[in-house]
Amino acid sequence: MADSTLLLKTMDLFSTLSVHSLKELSSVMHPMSVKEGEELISMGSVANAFFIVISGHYMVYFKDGKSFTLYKSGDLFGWSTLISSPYYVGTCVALTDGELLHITKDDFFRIIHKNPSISKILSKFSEYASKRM
Amino acid sequence: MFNVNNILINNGFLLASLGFLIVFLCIILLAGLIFLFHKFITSFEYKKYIMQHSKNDPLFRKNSDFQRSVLHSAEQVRSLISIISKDSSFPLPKLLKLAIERGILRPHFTISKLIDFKVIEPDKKGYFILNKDIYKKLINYKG
Repeated sequence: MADSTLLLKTMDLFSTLSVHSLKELSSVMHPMSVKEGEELISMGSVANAFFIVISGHYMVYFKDGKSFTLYKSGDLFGWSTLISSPYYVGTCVALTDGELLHITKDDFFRIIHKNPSISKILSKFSEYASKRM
Repeated sequence: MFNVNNILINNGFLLASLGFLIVFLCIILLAGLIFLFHKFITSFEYKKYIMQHSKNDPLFRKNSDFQRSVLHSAEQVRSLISIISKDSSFPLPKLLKLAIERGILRPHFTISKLIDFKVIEPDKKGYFILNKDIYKKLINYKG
């Protein structure tokens, strides 16, 4: 748990949050291991969680064939969850084994409801998403 | 002994101001050091954390055997790229799909290695390109 807080603290997206908020947020983050070739989110399926990269290499691709890869600790995917779309707009595949932090949409918004100061990161998520798209 | 004249004659106000300034500067310096120490500790712990998570990641083990395997992968993928695209850029998902269909060993990992070695690079428009210079260097690699 402390590790997740530490990781979040070093990420730009969460840098404006207080230690207390980071601890609350990290309490709903679940570490998960992924295997090379595993499909993590699928285009068109219900967006119910987003993911933060700890390690590994990932490819996110879209309907038009465009794609990008993620490999930096702190990279984010599945952001449709946090914006308006109820469905994932892209598919993400693990190119290597790796580790992620997994946060469900319900948990994330429950934490925001409990601690509204966390909601300020939503604008940063939008900025991050617009840079990627 | 403590009257105003004595204070004025012996530069009392100047000495008091100087003392105040020294104490004030020391406090600022101390606050700065505490602030930087906190950052240093965070950075150190973060690096340790990342190292723990990445020590089993094959991307971190770039020995000569690994480079030879990259060369082999590059040759295989080069031929696939020529199938899917006549232009310089190509869609990465299409390359992955073809690599799976053609039975390339560990296609996902192979493509990851080539991106890691910058043999395949993003063209900043959502597609990828083969970096011919790096590809040639790999081909000329004698290991």
